[in-house]
Amino acid sequence: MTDYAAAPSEPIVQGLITIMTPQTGLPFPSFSGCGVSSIIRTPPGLPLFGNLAGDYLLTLDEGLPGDVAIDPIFGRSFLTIRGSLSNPIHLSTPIDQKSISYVASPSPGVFVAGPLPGIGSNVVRVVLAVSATGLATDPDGTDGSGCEIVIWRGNAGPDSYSTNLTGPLFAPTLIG
Amino acid sequence: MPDYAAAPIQPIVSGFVTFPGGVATQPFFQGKGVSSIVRGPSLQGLYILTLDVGLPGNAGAVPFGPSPPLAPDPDVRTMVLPLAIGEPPLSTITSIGVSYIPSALSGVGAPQIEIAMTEPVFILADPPGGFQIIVWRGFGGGVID
Repeated sequence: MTDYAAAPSEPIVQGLITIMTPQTGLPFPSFSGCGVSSIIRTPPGLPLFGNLAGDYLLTLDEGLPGDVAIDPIFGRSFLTIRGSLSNPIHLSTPIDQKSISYVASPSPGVFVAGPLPGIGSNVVRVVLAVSATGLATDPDGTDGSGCEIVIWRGNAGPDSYSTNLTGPLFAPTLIG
Repeated sequence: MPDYAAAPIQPIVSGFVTFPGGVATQPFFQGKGVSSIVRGPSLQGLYILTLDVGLPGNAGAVPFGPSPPLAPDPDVRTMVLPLAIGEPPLSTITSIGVSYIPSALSGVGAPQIEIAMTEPVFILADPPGGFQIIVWRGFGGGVID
């Protein structure tokens, strides 16, 4: 069979972010799927300013290719909001701003914006917002029923090898 | 070449939806994995796509767990992208909601996908240039809190 895969990319994360509401305490994010070892709300403080809702840090699985592996240049992803069952507009969502940024966690519980040389980006920050209110918003209740996420690593093959890389797994190779 | 595919997903639908008669007319699906497309209860912006019968589209490819109808199913990922027309090219669509409609038959799963598209003031609207859609089935994994 002819192989048309001219631009190989490998899925490293696929899952669904939902908001769980415990009987006591505050609602918290949950991730169902592969490639993520933890999800938390982005904590307030420098250099990351967390929002009370709609702002999450997903730590990639350790090991290949999740941890210390993804270079933002090669991240390919999408976010899809699941429609709300309770929104007055049938199965729609007011969330119209979705963003992914790449973060590093050099040590447990510490997060810094952007990849670190030698570490790469082992954390992905997802922010969902409603432009009409200007607020980050959970995909829950009248705002949605969850957020699907897929992240691929592009440039999966040996071709088109770039030297503009960050993580140790992708350290540039000098070819004599 | 090492296989780093740590999060396997399988495409079950890929296609392009257009409106040959213009917006608010019958939508038309070109592609694979869908056997029909109809409008939802709105003149524009709501579409119900019925998956092909047989694997992997129907009857179990989009399974639901022990959850209420339309509750989140962790094993499906859908990407919808409106195409733009005009100059500068714009799609007019700002928000998109995707839902999965379970079969009334127990054990069948969700053979239909419903898509809701709205304009900036949250009015359901067709994208004049149509939209692309890809649906993947996810495999494995579990719940992480």
